[in-house]
Amino acid sequence: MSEQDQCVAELVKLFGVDIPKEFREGVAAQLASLFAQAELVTSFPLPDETEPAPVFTP
Amino acid sequence: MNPGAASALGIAARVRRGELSAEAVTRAALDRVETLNPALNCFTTLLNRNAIESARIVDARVLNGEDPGPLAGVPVGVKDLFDVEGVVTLAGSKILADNPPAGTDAVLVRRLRRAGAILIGCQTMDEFAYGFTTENAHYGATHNPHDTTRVAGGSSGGSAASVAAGLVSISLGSDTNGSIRVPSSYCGVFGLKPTFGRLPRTGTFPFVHDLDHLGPFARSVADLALAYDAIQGHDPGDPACAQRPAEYASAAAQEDIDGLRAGVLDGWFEEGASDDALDAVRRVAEGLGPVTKVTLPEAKRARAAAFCITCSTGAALHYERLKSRPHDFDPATRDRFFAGTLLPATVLARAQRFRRWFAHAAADLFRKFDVLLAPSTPDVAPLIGQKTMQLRGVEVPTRPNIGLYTQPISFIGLPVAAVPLWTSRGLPIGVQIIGPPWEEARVLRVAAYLERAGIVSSKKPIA
Repeated sequence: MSEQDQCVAELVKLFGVDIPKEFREGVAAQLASLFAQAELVTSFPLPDETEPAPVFTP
Repeated sequence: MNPGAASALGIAARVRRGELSAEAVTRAALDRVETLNPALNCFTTLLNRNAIESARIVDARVLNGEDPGPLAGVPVGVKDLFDVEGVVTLAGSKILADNPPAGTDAVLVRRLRRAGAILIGCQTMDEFAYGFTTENAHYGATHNPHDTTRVAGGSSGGSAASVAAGLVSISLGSDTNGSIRVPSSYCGVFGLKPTFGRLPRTGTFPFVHDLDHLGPFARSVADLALAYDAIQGHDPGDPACAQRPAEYASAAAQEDIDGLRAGVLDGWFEEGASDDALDAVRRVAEGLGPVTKVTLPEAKRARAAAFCITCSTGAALHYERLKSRPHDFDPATRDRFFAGTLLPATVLARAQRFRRWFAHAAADLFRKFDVLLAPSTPDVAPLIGQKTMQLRGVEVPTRPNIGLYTQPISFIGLPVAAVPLWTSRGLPIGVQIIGPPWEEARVLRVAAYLERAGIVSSKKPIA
């Protein structure tokens, strides 16, 4: 099992999302791409006062 | 009468005057669809009988001296995520095919029909709107009318391709990350992605609730504005729809652009762009006056944030279906949705906060510029099945990189007129004319000016 496949297997256990085994290689590749984008998001220093941009209106 | 060559304005004017019957236009459009669509694959559902019946109603109104509406007899299509009464809304999926037919039309479909438009059919798309190519595992690929070996773009591929091929005069599509602007670029037609919250999405199948926009495609700016004006107005069925009155753009689009300050986005919006894409932006910018380059900071990060919000929120929407019917998804969307279920919540929260930061950065630019310009796509349409593409010599996967320049803009909901130009290769490529929030009339005015100047056109130049 590759490192990526192991990572997906661990996440699946953690989150309880049952990803069929035959899809896990493809999901691992997408996850690597997604986490690379996520790193760009989380590495940006935002001021504490910056609130999100919600659109929900009750 | 060839509805493929006539404008929507021209058709409606003749039908309204009683010079041309809506039924004749509709039959001509349906004949054209029958001839050309098998090679293009623009529709998942055709509504021949309903279209003829609707056309007869329009003709009866004209005969009775009633107002048949500003789109009288104009053949239109809608992306297959708009509810159409009596039709199952597929959203490009196999899974939703088990749903019952829609009981009523989506609000925008209802508005089109009230304006006298004749709905010809529901148009092909990427599964659940998650893609930029309309290569759908269930319903096949949509072919680009200008080169059928190439993709039409997506996810509103059928909508753009059927306008380009003259199967309909106007289409409605949706744009979450570029799904109006990308196929507009690849198919050489005009597209409008209005401000987020401008047009109600009531009765459409969602993808990412706080990024989804709806908008029209057309072969001229006048037709685009005509369609946009016919569908404007608040609807309480969409909680994100702004409580703003309609701001009609057709007349405003004809006004001059004296003193316009246009900025060409550099940095992220030039990196990776092909010579054709950069040349298209240059031609538009030079047509508008002296070229001023300007940086929209952190655009790469904005694209990343849109990417994460889309993947995570889309995955949450489809969570039950992913668990119950994973084998019935298109493989191209399935693996990304599964990945999205595993994204930490922190990323999503940070991305939403960054969205505010980035919107402020864009607002700063609009203090100095009236419109901003950027390519719609990094290059012309790729081939169907093409797995990788070159971004200035760097080989990258095709599908995730098509929306590099559209994603940062829809991320903050800015209005964009996507305008087509033609490359020396005989293929179209689009430029985004980006305005500040609620300035659809301004971006349409700039598009109309460029069209009058002969710089942008949906017509391929004669060699």
